[in-house]
Amino acid sequence: MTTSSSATAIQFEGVNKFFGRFQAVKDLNLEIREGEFFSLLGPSGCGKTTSLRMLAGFEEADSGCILLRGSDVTSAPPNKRPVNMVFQHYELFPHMTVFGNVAYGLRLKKVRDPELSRRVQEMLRVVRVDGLEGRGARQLSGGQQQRVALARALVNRPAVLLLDEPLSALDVKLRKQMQIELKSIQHQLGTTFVYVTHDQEEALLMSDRIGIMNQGRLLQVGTPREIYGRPADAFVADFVGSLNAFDLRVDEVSGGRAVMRLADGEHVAVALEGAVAAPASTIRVAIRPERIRVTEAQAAGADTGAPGASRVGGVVTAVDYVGSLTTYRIETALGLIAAQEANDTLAPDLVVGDRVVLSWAPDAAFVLPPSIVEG
Amino acid sequence: MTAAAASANVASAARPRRRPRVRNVGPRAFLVLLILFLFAPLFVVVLFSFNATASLSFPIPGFSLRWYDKVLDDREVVAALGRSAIAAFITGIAGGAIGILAALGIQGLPPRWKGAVQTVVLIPIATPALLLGIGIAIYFNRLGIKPPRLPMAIAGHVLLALPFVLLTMTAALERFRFSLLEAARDLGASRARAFWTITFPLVLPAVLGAALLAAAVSIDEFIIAFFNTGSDGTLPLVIYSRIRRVIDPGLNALATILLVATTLLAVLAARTTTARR
Ligand SMILES: Nc1ncnc2c1ncn2[C@@H]1O[C@H](COP(=O)(O)OP(=O)(O)OP(=O)(O)O)[C@@H](O)[C@H]1O
Ligand SMILES: [Mg+2]
Repeated sequence: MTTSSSATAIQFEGVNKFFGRFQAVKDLNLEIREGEFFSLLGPSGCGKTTSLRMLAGFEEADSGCILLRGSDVTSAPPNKRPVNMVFQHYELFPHMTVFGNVAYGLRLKKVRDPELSRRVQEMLRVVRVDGLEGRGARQLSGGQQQRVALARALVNRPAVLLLDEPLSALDVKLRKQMQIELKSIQHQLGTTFVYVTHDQEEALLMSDRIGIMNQGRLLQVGTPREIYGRPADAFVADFVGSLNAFDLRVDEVSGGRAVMRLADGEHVAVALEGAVAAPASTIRVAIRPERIRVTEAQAAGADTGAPGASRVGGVVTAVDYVGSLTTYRIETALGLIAAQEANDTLAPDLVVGDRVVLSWAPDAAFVLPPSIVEG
Repeated sequence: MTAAAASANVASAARPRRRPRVRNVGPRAFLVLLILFLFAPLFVVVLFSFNATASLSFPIPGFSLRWYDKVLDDREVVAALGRSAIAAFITGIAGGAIGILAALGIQGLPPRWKGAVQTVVLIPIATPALLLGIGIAIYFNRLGIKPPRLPMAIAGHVLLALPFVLLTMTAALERFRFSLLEAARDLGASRARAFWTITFPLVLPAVLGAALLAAAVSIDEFIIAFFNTGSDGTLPLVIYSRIRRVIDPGLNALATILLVATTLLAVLAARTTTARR
């Protein structure tokens, strides 16, 4: 982020949106800061695009209000808002050149020629399509169209740039490249970006903060680390990254931890972090596969007994090798657990049927709150 | 009228369909006969319009442009030609303008209304021109409008052309990406500005095509003109009144002019509507 100020760029206050009887956005309260790269993440149909379109002025909220830099824009028409949008299918004007497309907004603002050309050229350089200004909009590759659409929006110096799955039409390699480039452009210009995606990796990679939506509701807002490390509920946890979840029978509560004792001195512990767990009750616990260490049973040695660390034995039932990583599926007393190991020199060489010991650090597992939204 | 209808089909069907090849000699011969049957009268008219003499007998003794000279020197004919041109021009402009507005209006309707309205506006195709002609005459008469009555005929022509115009325009709007207008609004354009800078240039070829089609409908229309004009008749009326008097070889030249004008308009219309994309 180029600005360290925490001024508010956008505020949604109790926004609801209905299509007929169907409620697409439910009581949305959200604050997006100036200069921030903010992503709205969620499964298809959760209301991301609708939220973005209310910001752009293409849909009007049925109740609640939307503030842009402090002023109420809830009912302002799209041409009267200092925001610009990059559309999923670019929507370049096919009867205009690249220059004509990028100059469109400036011409409407009566920017005249030396400055007009200078700003268009400058923006085409920023998105790296300089030299194509005379090209017809139809004669561009997908990646080039994407860049021109970006330039066409950014050249107006919007208070907020809205992007609706702008990379979804590109192939994987180009998409990865554009993710990095978009982020660096955002850094360079310091513009507030509101980015809609249903790709969790993309959101984690690009965003300063992420808002997770499901079924019209905003479930959690936080930095990628917060969202990934401490998801607010089971839905978020499962949607962002893969996850092991199991029931933990509370045998003992001590030092802010709930502990379940298993056979052979094995045990599983979870830091409660404010959650309540009565002895003899059952709580839902989750752990990311990459936080689990897998060791061959013979090599595992004795329990180190570190307070809060966990240790569970099991049998390998599947080995999925994907180059840099290997995912093991292991049958344990907790159920089937997935564990992921980087394929470095220390990686265990395991096959199906091997007996192993799983272990993880005290802070690796967390208590999973029940889903905020059903389903 | 027939040429115009044919080109409306061309415009709405846009993409050529693959036709099964005619293998048998029978159907093929039939096809040739059919084409001969359809085009032989036209051919005869065109041929005799270049006849050097007044006799209507084969083979023609020689070629000349004397009948063209003659009809173009005829003040009554030239005046009628002028009125036909005016009628075609106004029908074209009005047809194009009403066409795009009506088509945009229909496009914006909720789906279940859209189909109904689209059907209703096509009714004039199935309505006998005779009814239209008499209806318009009575209607204007009741309104107390007296001759010159060319404007009444033109109003009828616009009505007659509207279904063809709407077919062409609706097809064009189906292909138009309305999301482009959101992009324009987002960049600061008002509704009107977005229409003039985005919608209009992109559907202009279709509007021109529709206008040409309307003009083609007007230029050889007879019945409505017959019931609504008198001394201020259009070219088809003059041809008709002359035929009743004498067999005038000059009529062949006139008919050929009409034929060329209609065909040209229809072909141009088909070209402009299918030029892009
Ligand atoms: N114009 C509309 N009329 C009726 N329902 C709509 C309309 N627009 C969206 N919806 C509904 O609202 C819900 C949210 O749609 P929205 O487009 O915001 O989803 P999204 O999160 O962007 O999904 P995706 O990832 O598939 O783009 C969907 O169930 C959708 O069917
Ligand atoms: Mg969407």
